[in-house]
Amino acid sequence: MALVEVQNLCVKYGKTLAVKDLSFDIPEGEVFGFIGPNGAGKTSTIKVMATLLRPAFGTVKLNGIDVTADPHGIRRIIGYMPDTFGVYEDLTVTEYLHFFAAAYRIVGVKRTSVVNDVLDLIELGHKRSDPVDALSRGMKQRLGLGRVLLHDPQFLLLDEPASGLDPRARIEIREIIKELRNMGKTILVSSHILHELAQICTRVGIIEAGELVVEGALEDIYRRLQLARTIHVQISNMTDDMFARIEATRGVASVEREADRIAVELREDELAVEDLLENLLGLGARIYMFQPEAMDMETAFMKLTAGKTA
Amino acid sequence: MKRGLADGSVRDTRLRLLSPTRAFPLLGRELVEEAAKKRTYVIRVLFAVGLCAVFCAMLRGALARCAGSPFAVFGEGEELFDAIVWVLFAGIYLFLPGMVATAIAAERERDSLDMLFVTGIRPGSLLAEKFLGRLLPFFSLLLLALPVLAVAYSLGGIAVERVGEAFLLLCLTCLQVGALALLCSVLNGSVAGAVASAYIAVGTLGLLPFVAERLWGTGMTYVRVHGALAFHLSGQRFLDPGLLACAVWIALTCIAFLVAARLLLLRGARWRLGSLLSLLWRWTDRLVGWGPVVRHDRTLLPTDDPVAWREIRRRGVDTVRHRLRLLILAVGPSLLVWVLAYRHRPARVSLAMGQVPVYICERPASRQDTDTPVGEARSPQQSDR
Repeated sequence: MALVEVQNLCVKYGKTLAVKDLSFDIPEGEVFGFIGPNGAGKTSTIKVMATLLRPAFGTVKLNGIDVTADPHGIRRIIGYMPDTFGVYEDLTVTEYLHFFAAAYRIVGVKRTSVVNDVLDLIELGHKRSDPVDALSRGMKQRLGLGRVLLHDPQFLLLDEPASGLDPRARIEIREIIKELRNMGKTILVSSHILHELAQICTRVGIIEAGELVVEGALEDIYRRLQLARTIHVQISNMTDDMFARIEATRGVASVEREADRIAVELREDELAVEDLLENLLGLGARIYMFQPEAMDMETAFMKLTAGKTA
Repeated sequence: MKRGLADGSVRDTRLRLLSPTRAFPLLGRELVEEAAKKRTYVIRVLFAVGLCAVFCAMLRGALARCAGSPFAVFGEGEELFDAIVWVLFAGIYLFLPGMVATAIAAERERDSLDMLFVTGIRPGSLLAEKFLGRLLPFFSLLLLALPVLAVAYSLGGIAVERVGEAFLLLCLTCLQVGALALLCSVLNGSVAGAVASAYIAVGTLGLLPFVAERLWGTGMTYVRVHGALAFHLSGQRFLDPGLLACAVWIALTCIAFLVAARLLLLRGARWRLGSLLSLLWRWTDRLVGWGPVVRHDRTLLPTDDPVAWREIRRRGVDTVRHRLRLLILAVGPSLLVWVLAYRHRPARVSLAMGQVPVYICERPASRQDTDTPVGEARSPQQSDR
């Protein structure tokens, strides 16, 4: 069952149409990666889901509730972490979380317990008495993530949670998101750091110029793209005759001779990577490197947003 | 200092204050933040010192005039009382716009307003808590006047109605000026813009009587639009019918400002004074050698680094000096114009403005007028005291 249903969403800023007829679903328990270049309409879409922006057209339903019909009901089930957010410099970490817990109407002993649990989850227990302003950017980002967990929301909207962080802090954020996924939360996370999204997302949606280019499970997208796979091969006894015979192999789109290797572009639907290896061995090639180029999200993103699909 | 505040029983107290009730977490946070700021105490001390200085100067003058007999000072309390009330009015017009104008604009500037919207705090409650969060510390400033007011009262010559009227009008003025500043805060996207526009708006509100007087003449209209300070100036008393008109006018404007703020809160900032102010800051940065540089830094942070930077521009921060400079730039010229205008046409300006500079100019003159030779008969009202 889809927890999030977005149908024909349009968002306008004056005369500018930022989001055009966007439709997608996010099933419960999924981690949905929302990918797109700057100005693609990611944040606008997220803000509509967070009840902070009114759509010009279309509907967004969370758990069956329309975001424009019952924004207060929606706010109880979402946790929204904006791409940039300020902290209150005169509060300590504990006070900051207590304030937001109070704002979410969590009271009494439960509040203390929730704050302690969240501090443990984001691993900021040792900083509980430090002023928020004294935290590093990575810690502030973790604190922001902790803030959205206070009221135990079903659905998390994380707008570029790892942006501006050093590699260690990015990994820490990623691990927390994995932990949240294991806890059964449904998460929408937008990011520019695509290979990291690939590690945590079960589904992705690529948006460009306000339109959804592609949406679905990562494997499906790769399959749908039908990209030619490039294999880098180093052969010690390469001859011109062998080169010509490789070129003539069925399923090989092209072969390029490089300084110390050849790059074989393969049509995977006609010839599997392992079959190419067998063919090369059959030609008498003495192979000391055989490396299929990794198919990653960045490649897919570049191909798709450059309009090279299909 | 911050670490110290976060320790032990102080920390527990702050945590309790953070949510005094289930209903007002934001108010609690505002008070905690205000209490943690050094400038809160600096302003209080400065205000108290200023208040005491004015009072001591006035008292010294009164004692000097009564040098022949120490008992002659009895019955002179009204002048001292009025002086203190004037200082309090001045404090409201000078400090309150700056304090309230940052309420929403600061949240917007540090990108924390959206986070508040998605909590359980409703927009109306958010505004009310922010408003109270700024007014309560200011009321504590006004309370500093109580000891000196008590001394003035003990000297006699003050009708109880006068005290009631002053109290009512001070409170109403706080609400009116605060509500207008809050509206400016809602309309502006930056702290600097909000503070500047709040002072401009409050100054404009002060100019309204001049326009009204031109259009409709004096009389009730004058009293209504002139607001609390003019009413106080006009010498009417607590139970005079004019007070009701004045109070209703102030209350209505206050409600109008708050309703407008509520309606516009979710629509986002409308005014962009930032660019204009930026030019002004660049100009003043060249002239003023002290304090932080407040203009926007033109140096961009790297955007093509492997670590994706979100901040691509450094921003000027909201500091006391920043606000002080705003205050001087916004209020200073107006004060100068008022004082100069008063010297040329005292009657018209006092009618039109009825503001602080008039008081400053008027005090010595009124003191001369009210000088009572020792041993002379007092007015019946004074004799009653």
